[in-house]
Amino acid sequence: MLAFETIVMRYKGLVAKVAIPMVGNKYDADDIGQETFIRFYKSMKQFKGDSQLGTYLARIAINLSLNEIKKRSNHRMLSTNDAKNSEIPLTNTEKSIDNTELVNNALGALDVKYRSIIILRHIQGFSTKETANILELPLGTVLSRLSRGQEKLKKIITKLEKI
Amino acid sequence: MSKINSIEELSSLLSGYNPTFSDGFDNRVMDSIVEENSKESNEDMVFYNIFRWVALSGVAAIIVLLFSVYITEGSFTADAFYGLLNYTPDEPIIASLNY
Repeated sequence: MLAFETIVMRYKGLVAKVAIPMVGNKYDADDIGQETFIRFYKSMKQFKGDSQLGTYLARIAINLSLNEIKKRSNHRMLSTNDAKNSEIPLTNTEKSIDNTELVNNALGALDVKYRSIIILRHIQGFSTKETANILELPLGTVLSRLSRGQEKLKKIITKLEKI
Repeated sequence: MSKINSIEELSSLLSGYNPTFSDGFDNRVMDSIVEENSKESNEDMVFYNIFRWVALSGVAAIIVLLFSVYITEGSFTADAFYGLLNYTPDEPIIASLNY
């Protein structure tokens, strides 16, 4: 149990850096973070160490985040009012927004397929190969999405800074 | 003036982004793990109890069977179990002649 607690302490930052920008709010990200560690605990016997633990946890966190986003979009399709109560607001009423909010808002406005790659590559610092491995995508797809995502994100940030 | 003019600047902005979970995250995870463990051990206990009752019922049935065989036949031989203790080979022949 103590060993597992050490794992939680050591990797919670990594999981937070994946889950929070993916879903855009701390409450859902907290649940995803917890679920990530529980899933890992349950599947610990199957983890043979052929990938790094960080990569393994990031994959679980990304998959859970994608499920959450999918669930939300399904829910949004049922309730039209949800569009007004978007979890990741594009605009901010405060005049000065710090970098964290800026990144949060910008990533929230970015398409999920680009968002996941930007998070893993730039925020988490995984290599392109590791990112491709985590997302189970071909390397070429990751590279093209990364390039397109960066351009889109730059435009969104510039737009947000003007607000 | 925009903060982001190049990919390097974007990369630097993103690498400085360091979100954290709310306070007490570790404790909540460990509590969930403990809860999960106790749930699993409860499920194991239910399975163990069912298995024990089935096994005990089987043993009880065997004891009752042995007891009833001993009461009716007065012996534990194979013939007693098959109900052939008082059986004589001539019986079917006599029975078929009488038919």
